[in-house]
Amino acid sequence: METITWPSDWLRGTLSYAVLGSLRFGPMHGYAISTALEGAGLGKVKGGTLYPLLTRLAQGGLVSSTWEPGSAGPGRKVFAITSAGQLHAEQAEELWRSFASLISAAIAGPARTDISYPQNSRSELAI
Amino acid sequence: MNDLQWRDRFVTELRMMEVAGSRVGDELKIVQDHLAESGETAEEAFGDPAEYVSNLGYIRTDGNWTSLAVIALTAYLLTSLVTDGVVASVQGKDVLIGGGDIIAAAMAAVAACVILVVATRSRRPWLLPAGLCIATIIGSIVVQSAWNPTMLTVDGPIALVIATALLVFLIAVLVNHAGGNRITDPVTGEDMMDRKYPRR
Repeated sequence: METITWPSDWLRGTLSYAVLGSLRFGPMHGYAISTALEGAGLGKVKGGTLYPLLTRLAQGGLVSSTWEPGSAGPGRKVFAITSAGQLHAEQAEELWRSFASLISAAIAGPARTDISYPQNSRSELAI
Repeated sequence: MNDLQWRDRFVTELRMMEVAGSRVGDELKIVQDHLAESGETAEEAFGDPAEYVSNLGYIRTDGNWTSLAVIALTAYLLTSLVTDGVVASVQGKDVLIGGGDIIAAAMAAVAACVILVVATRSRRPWLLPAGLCIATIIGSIVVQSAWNPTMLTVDGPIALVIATALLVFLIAVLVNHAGGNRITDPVTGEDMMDRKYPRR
């Protein structure tokens, strides 16, 4: 996959949703999340960015974590999405689709006329 | 900065935030796990240790006031009971505990808490605490000389028995306090700052 360097302010605002999304595949340790995000084309997410974000998600009750002993190497902290996190991610997914559509239309300017405002556009998904 | 220097700075930064040893161990293990997997250096993966700690969202506290006050109070009572108890036992008299003695003990506990606050916040943590220690000692002597009506009478040997019990209590509190600040591996429970702990 071609590596694109996304604007950092885009990633700053959306990385938490991408992390929650990656955990919807199942529990993962930190480096696996980082690899998954990179594999998804979002670029390399440094540990210095990822773990504080996971801490905030855990404090918000969206992610839980447990230590699991490693079979050969050091033990790993495994992160899992909670039911609240799952719901949050589902809401974000729906709302984001509408938002992306609106932004695309806004950027396209007069060329687009199929703008439709989502019913739940007033939802708050701040983390 | 090599990984060992990074680790030491990271631990120091967390300690300055009064983060408990078990939490420090947790954070340190996350870093070690990530570095073992990624093959990156600590500085590459996590950047400046101080900045990383500030991003982790810990809020600085002024330490554990209650345990320090208990330690200071116990130490003061222990010292008083031992000195007075020995003298009273030798002379065959009772130990007299006065109102001034109780006020002096309370002053020692309060001074210990103030010293803790100053030591964690001040750029020159020795200056005010040193002055406060001297002021507390002088204040205690003045209070005990000026107003010290007898509130309690204890036999000399009993005072020594109480002092022994206080010593045991003080040791238990100190051991418990030191144990709580050990940086332990969240999986194995090993001391992560021990030289024998594997550097991964």
